[in-house]
Parts: sequence; C-alpha cells; structure tokens
Amino acid sequence: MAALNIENVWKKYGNVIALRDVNLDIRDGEFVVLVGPSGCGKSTLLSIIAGLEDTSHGTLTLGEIDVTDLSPKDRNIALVFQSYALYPTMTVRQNITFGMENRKVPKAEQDKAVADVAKLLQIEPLLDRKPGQLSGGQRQRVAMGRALVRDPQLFLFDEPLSNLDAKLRVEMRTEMKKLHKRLGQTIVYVTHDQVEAMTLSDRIVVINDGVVQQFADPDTIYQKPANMFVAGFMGSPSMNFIDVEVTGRARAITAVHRGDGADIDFPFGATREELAPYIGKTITLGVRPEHFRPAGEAGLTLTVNVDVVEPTGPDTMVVFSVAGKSLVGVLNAKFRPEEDDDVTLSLSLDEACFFDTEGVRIRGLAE
Amino acid sequence: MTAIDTIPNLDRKKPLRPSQVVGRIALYATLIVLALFVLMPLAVIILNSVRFNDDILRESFIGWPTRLTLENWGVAWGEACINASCTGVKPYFWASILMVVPATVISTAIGLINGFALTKWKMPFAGFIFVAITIGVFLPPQVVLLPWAIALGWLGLSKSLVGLSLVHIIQGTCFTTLFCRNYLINLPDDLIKAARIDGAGFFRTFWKIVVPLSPPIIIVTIIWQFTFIWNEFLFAITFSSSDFRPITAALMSLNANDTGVSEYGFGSAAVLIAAIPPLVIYFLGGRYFVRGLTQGAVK
Repeated sequence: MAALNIENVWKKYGNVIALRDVNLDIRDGEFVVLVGPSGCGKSTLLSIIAGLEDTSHGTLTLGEIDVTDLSPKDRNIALVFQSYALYPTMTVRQNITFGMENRKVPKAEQDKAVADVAKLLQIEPLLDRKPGQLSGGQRQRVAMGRALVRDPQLFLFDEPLSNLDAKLRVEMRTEMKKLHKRLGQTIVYVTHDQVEAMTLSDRIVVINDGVVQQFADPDTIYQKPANMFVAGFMGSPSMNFIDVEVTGRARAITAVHRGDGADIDFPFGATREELAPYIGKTITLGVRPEHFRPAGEAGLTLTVNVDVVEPTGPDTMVVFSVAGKSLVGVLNAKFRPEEDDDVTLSLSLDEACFFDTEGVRIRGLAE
Repeated sequence: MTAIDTIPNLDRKKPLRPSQVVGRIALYATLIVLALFVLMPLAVIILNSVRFNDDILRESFIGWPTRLTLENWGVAWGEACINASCTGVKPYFWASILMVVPATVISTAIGLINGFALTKWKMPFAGFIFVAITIGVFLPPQVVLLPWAIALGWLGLSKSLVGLSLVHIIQGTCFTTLFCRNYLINLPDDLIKAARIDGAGFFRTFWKIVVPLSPPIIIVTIIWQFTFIWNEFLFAITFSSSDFRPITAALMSLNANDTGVSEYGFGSAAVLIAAIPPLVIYFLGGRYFVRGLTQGAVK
C-alpha cells in the first residue's frame, strides 16, 4: 500500500493536449474514482499512472519512489481492464500466474498465492478452464484475481464493471466495496457511471477536457459542486439551471427569473448573504430534480404545466414548464399528473446552488 | 402461460418462382462447364501418366487409356534422364523439399515477428517500414533478378541451395509480413498492455501471447509460402546448377532427351509428382486457409 502523488502532469498527443496540469494527492488506502464524459482524459490519466503512457510533463510519486519514468512492471501496480484482457489461450491458473512466472517467483509460492486468491474470489472450480468458457462475471473475477495476486501497492481499474449486465454490475459493485474494506488497498478507479463513482469512492475526481474540475468526497461533489460542469454531470437527471437576476438588498434578497410573460421570484431573504455582492447582476441558480416536492411541503410554491411524465418505478420523473422555462423534477411514484395539466409543486431552496457568469459556484460565507 | 405441446413442421422452405428455377439451372450449367474447362488439362495429364507412350503417340495425346500401366511413375521417379543424368526426378524432389521447408518456416517466422512489432510494439516509423516491405509484393520478380544475381555473387552463394533459399526467404517476407500484420492488427491492445504490466518483454509476449493466438494466419502463410516457393520457376531456373536444382527447373529438361522422341507418359507422371506436395499441404490446411483469408473481414 502507498500514497500516490500526481504533480503538474500534462499529456500531449500530436497537437492535442489530453491532460492539463493535473495535481492529485491520493492518500494511502484511499478509494479514488476518476469520472468524466468520454474523451475527457480519465483513461489517459490511468494509463499514465500505470506507466503504459509517458507523461509530457510532471511527476508521479508512489510511496516514496518517483515512478515517472519507470516501466509498468517496475511500478508495483496492477490494472484491471474493461475488456478484462485475459490471455485467451491460457487457463485461469496460467492467467493468474503469468506475471509471477515473469518475475521468477518460486513455484511453491505461486501455488499458494493462486490458492489464496482463488479462495478469496471463489473461483477455485474455474482454475483449469479457459477464459472462453467463463461467463462475464466469472471473467471479471479472474481479472481481479490476476491483479490481487500481485499484491500491488496500487490497484488501477479501468471501467471494470461496464461490460456486465445491470444486475451483476450492482452485485459486483457491492463486492468490490467489501473487498476494499477488507484489503484496504489504494485504488484508482475509472468510470463514466456516476452511481459507481458516488457509491464506491472515498473521493471523486471529476475531469472534463483534460482538466480536473473537482477533487472531493461524494457528498461535497453532489451538494457543493465546484462549477456548473460538475453540477450538471453528477446527478441524473441533471441539475436544473435557471438564469436569475439578484434583486433586493442585503438580508432581503430575491432571485428573479425573467420568464416569458411572467417572472418567477425565488425569495432567499437573509439565508444567502453570499449573494449580496451580486445584487443587480444575472447569475445561475441550480436546483436538483429531487428538490421539487408535491404541493403542501415546505418550500416555494410553483404552479407548473406538465409536458412529459416518465414513471421509473420507485419515482416519477416529470418534465414541466413554468414561465416558458423547461425543468425536470423527480417526485415519488404516487405522484402521477396527466400531461398538459397545471399542477402545484413545492420547491425546497435550502440546497440550491448559485453559479457566477464564469460557471463557478458562489461559496457560502461559512465555507 | 400455456404450455406448447405440439411442434409444427419447422422445415418449411420458401418456394422458388419459375424465373428463379430457370436462373438456378443456368447458374449450375455455367458452373459445370467452367469446372470441366479447368479440370480438363489435369484429367489429360492423369490419364497419360497411366498410358503407354507408344499408345499416346499412335492414338492421340488426348484419349482414354486402352491399356493401363504404372511404369511411367517408376521411370519418372527413378530412371528418367535429365541433362544426361538418369536419376529420375527423385534428387530434384528432395532438393526442392530441402529448400522449401526451411524457407517457408523462416519467412513465416520473420513475417509473424514483423507483424507483431509493426502493430503492437509502438515502433517508430512503423507505417513507413510496413509500406517499404509491402512494396516487395508488387515488384515483378524480373526486376529483382539481376540485383539478386549480383548479391548472391558477393555472398559467394551463387547457384546453391542456401543462395536460392535466401532469395525465397527475403522475397517471401514481403508477403508474410503483409499477411501477419493484417491479422495481428486485430489482436486486442489490452492483451499486450496486460502482458507489459505482468512484466513480459517483447519475445516473451510474442511466444506466450501472440503465437498461441496466431495458428489461423500461420497456417495461411505456410500454405501460401510452401506453394509459392515450390512452384516458383524463374528464380529456380536462374539460380540453380547441376549441383543444386529444384524440381520445377528439372522438369524443364526432362522431355528433351537424346532420342528426340517425346516421352509423354513419364513426363506426365513427373509433372504430377511435382504437383503432389502443395496439394498435400492444401488438403491438410485448406479449411484454415479459407477461414484465415476471410478473418477480420466481418466481425
């Protein structure tokens, strides 16, 4: 186990800059998830950590050792691939021992390591089969086994669950979390699935366009996103963004959305003193879909016109418009309005976020 | 749900329209005619190899045997005279084997290593090197004849087994590299990355990961190289001598015997003997050959 320190890392391919000045301080034993849209550079960063790609600038330190220019085999890392990358012509046992053979580990030690890992992952009956004879979930376990047997200082996972069906993915997710608790290894895990990111991680790195947008624990990422990209990317359906003009005076602030034909007033009174410097300016208000509740609960009462109703089972997703602005709400399953109905909803503003014209979240005075 | 207890007839075929029937007949008729056209010369040679030469000369070159004999095969193998040495095609057959087998194996091995290095081992200028090697596929052999003659002269390998094998190995590497590169480019990159992380170097990755996944292309390449080198005539006739002569070059001199009488009987047998090894190779690996050629065309 070891901490991983990434300092000022840049990566350039031809004329394209894939990573810009990445700085991450990953603690010993921490489970860190890299998340972002496809092409954002998260897999590139993982390849650089693994040593499969070189950095164009910057340094990587694993434990006390500068590993920037070390080859993958000398880094004491293990990588689980999205495709599993099991050697198709070898048995499961040979797949697991291939690395140890290359490192000339004595046979007896190899056998013991295989037995331990097979027991841990419950793949003992599969050891003499070829990967082609295994199901997706079994291959996934074998790929984990190949990584575990190395007993590395750092585990790297490249979207390891994305080839599994939905049910198995949830099971493996839970198992992965248990395994991390038990072994306490440092893990860097790439995914585009924000649920995986939220559930598995100690801390999340949100990346976009090769730039780290935010590096924080899941609750902070969700409740206090650094900017509009993070706010919009994390959470499904996405956060609603509403242009508002800050009006009133300090301790009596109202945010007003100038809509088609009507304005919507969001009264904040004295609760959001951080908005005082923005009086008279236009900023963006962000509210999560689940902040809408059926009428009668605490919050701002809004009358909306329903456009689309999408029941998901546990919830009802409703797309509606108010003053010409289209918004999304997630309410409980019992709430089933008809399309084109006018209904009254309640909007809780306690956790509303504000973003300045640059898209950066306006911090509360206590933060 | 209701249980299904009777299974209807599941062998239904869509009935053909009259125009489709006519088309089908025309298609098969054409195919049969073309097949006969292709098989005709082979049939004539096979028939002549079991006819007496007298019968062939008296009756006609194309005809059914009136009497059967296997004597031609024996003569062709062990007694027929080639350039005044009456040994049959036997020594030339073995000379061809001695040349073809190592040349095939070595050029296939080089092609596979090249293909791996060019596709999976981030080699600098891989694209340029690949194009440069592949140009060899399109160069007519006549163009390289003189350069080869000079090069073999320098190396002191003129008109020798090693010299001609070397020519075939290097000429063949253009083809084998093309084949193997196009096959290996479809090998998942993740496998190679996994092997790097597992600490395997170039040759260990090659032996343990790439070679075990390559039998289809190895078989295709071996069939191609074996057949091509065995049947090759221009280099064989140019770079051989009485010390070393492959069977294709020897056949050339077989019919020109002292008496001036054409020996169609054992001539036909000799030609068939020369054709056997590539056929054997093809029959052994033919199904892999077809599979290998279409590999990667459709996912």
